[in-house]
Amino acid sequence: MFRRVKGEVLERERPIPYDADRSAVEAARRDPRAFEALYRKYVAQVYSFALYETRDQHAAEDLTEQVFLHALRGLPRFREAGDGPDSTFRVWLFQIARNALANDRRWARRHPQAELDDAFAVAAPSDPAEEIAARDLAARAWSAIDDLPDDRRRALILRYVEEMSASEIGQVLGRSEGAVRVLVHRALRSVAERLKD
Amino acid sequence: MEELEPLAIQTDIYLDWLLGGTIPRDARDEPTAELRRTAEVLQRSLVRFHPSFRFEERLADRLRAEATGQPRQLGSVIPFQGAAPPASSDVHADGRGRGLIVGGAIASGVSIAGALFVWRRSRTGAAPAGTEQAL
Repeated sequence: MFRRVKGEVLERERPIPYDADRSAVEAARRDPRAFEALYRKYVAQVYSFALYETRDQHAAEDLTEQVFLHALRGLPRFREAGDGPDSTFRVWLFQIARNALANDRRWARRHPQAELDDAFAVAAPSDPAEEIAARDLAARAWSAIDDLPDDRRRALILRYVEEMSASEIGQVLGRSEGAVRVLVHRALRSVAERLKD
Repeated sequence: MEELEPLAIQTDIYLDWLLGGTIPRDARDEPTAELRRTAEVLQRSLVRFHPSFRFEERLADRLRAEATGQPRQLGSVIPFQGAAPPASSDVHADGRGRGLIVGGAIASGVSIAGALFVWRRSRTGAAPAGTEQAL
C-alpha cells in the first residue's frame, strides 16, 4: 500500500477503487441504448444538484438534460482513471454538471433575464411533519445554506444530498480532499452560527 | 486552513457515520455538540429531489433517439386494448391489430368532423346553428 518516493518519503499508494458503474459504462460503450440504465440511476442525483444550484425547476431540468446528452455523446472519451485514481462515472457526470452550470451562469450574466426565485420555493423540502418548530429550524437552515459562499454550499450539497466522499467532491470541484473537508466543516460552522440566532 | 484540518477530519468522520446511519456509542465528543446538532438538522433538510415523471420520460426518449441516431417520433404507436375485435382489414398478416397514433389522432378527428359538417351543410343548405340564432 505504500511506496518509496525519492528513496526517502513514504507516500501512500492509493488503490484504484472498483467503479460500481464499470459494467454499465462498458455496456453503454458497446451499445449506446444501454446508457438508459446509467441515466435512470443518476437522473435524480443530477436533477437534485441542479435544483439546489439553480433553485428553479425549469432551469434544473434544462441542466439535467444538457448533462445527460453531453455524457451520452462523450461516453467514448470517458476513461475511468482519466482524472486520477478515484475517477468514476459519477464523478465525471458531476464534473459535466459543474461545467454546464458554470456555462449557464456565464451566459446568464451576459444575458440578464428574469430574476431567480428569491427562496427555495420549488426546492423547499415538502415536510409533512406537523412540528412547526422543526419546520422553522429547517427554514433557517435553508436560509443559512443559501447565504454560504458558492464553494462551501456546493461541497455541502454534494456531501449531504449526493452522499459523496471528500475525495469525490474534490474531483468534482477541482480541490484537494483536505480542502473539501475544510469547506464542509466551515459550512457547517456557518450554518450552526446562524441557527444560534 | 492547516489548523482546521484535524477538526475538519473529525467532522468528516462524523458525517460518514451520520449519513451511513451508524453513529458508534463510544464516539468521542468531536465535533462539538453544536456542530452535531447542525449536521443532523441538515440531514433532515437537505433531501434529494426527483424530477417529474413527465420530464424523466421525455429526456429518456430523447436519449434513446440520440443513442440510436434516429430523430424523435412525434407520436408513438400504442396498441388499442379492450376494444372490440378489429375488422378483418384491420388485422395484419401476423395477427396484430392496427395501432393508434397518439398525437395524430386529434388532428384526424378534427378533419373528419370538419368534412362531416361541410357535407351536412351541402345536403341541407342550412346555416350553422349559431348563425341562425344571430340572424
